[in-house]
Amino acid sequence: MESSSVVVKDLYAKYAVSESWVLKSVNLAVGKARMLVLMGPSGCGKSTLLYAIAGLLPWVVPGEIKGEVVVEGVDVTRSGYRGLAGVVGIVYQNPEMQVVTRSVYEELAMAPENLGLPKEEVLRRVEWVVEALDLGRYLDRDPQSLSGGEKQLIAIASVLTMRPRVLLLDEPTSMLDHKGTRLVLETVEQLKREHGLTIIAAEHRVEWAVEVADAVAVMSDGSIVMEGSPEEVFSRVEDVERYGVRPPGAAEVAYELRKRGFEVRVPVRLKAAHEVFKL
Amino acid sequence: MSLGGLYVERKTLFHKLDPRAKIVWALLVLVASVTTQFDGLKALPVFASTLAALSLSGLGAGLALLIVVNASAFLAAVTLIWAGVYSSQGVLLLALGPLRLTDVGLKVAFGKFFLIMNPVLAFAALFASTRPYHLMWALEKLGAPSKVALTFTLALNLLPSTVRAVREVTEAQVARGLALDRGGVVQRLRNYAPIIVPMIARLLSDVWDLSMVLASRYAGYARRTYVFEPRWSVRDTAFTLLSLLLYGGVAAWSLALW
Repeated sequence: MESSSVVVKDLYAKYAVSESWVLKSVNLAVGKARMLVLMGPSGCGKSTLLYAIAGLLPWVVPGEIKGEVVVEGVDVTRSGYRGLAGVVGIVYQNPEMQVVTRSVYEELAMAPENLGLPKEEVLRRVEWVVEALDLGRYLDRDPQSLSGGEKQLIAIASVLTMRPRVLLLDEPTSMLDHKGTRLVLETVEQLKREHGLTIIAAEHRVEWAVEVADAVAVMSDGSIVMEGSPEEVFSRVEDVERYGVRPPGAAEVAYELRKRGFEVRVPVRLKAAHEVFKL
Repeated sequence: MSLGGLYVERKTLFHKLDPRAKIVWALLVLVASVTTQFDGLKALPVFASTLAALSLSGLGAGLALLIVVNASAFLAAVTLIWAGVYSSQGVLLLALGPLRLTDVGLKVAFGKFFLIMNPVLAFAALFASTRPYHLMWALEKLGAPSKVALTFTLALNLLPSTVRAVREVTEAQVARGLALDRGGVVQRLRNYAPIIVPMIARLLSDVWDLSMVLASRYAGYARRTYVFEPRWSVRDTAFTLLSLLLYGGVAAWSLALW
């Protein structure tokens, strides 16, 4: 646990309008520079868990939490989101709501400006993120003229200028087309690979998740019901389906073949599928 | 959603002015309009100056005339009301049955009309030529608390989004068969219910999302740094002095200080 970036212990959470707990006894530990993908049907509590980790619930979103949430050593249940300034960045589903200024540069500078950082530091961070994510071609453009995927990319970059150690992604591709989705997912992969961020993403694109995630947690009715490496989780096709998550296509095919009497391994990642189906 | 709001990107003289100078100018227009509210003739120089400002901001005086033409029903109503109030004062200009329009009534009617129109046009020029970012900066520089400056700018800039939301919801409901132009007045008002409810729901949802985004970008966390700070120049000083001279003169004239 000592090397964990995010630790959640016996967490219960609900909104002010909820009659019962939306999260029930959630336990989670994510190591530094690791990536966890949360999966589960709509309403299972993925976003609520992210809000609790980000300190937004109950500090910005009215509600109640019980249990322990520690992010990079900060006790979030005590400090709220303000204690996580420069520690956690969160990106939401809707790109239209996340780009709020009239220039990409203003957008990128907004968060560090709000943190009251010196002007030189704000400029340095903006330059850093522009270079890191190759955003130079967007700088002169009106953010409103960008596509959904490009807006989401700018939203991610805007959060990165806070230099967070933990990045939370709340279904960042759910409102994007295929091209936009690819742009965002490639960026997330790059952030994991090159910048060593701890990433917790609620994401329903299973094929992508199994390729890049270090761990997957399946949620159902406010609890984590399955957790482990993508192989551990998705090789249990029947269980995964029972909880409302579609397994990777290759695993589904192999599972159907096994049901028909073929002796094949259930591959989860693309590389494993290639080996299995080559035979 | 853009919080760019009413801002129009142009490279005009008005855009280049320091936002503080423009805020002072708009407030001076407001003060001058208040002092000329009983004499529309004296409000004319103020009106002319707001037209000039709109031209200098690249929006064009045509927009102002369009606003005035669209507000002609308001002008007619104002004229009728003040003609009634001042029917026994001044020289009779027109008598149509019970309507007695005197020169005093007409002056007051125009004064009241410009009391609304001039500040509307001045603030339109201000908001159209000032980036929300700079508006916030200027409000803070003029002493407004950071959260007040942010809230004001957000509220102002949500207006176009609200108008867009109304249009989209209306189009969606009309596409589903809603007939807004059917029935009498009461029925027509009732026809708007299927628009009002989803529109409020959508606006609440938008505001909710926006508050989450702003909180997670730490808006209001500390005294904000502004990377792009306008610089007060000789041009701004000259503009402010000219404004003081013009609107101070109009106010003094209206209050009969000489």
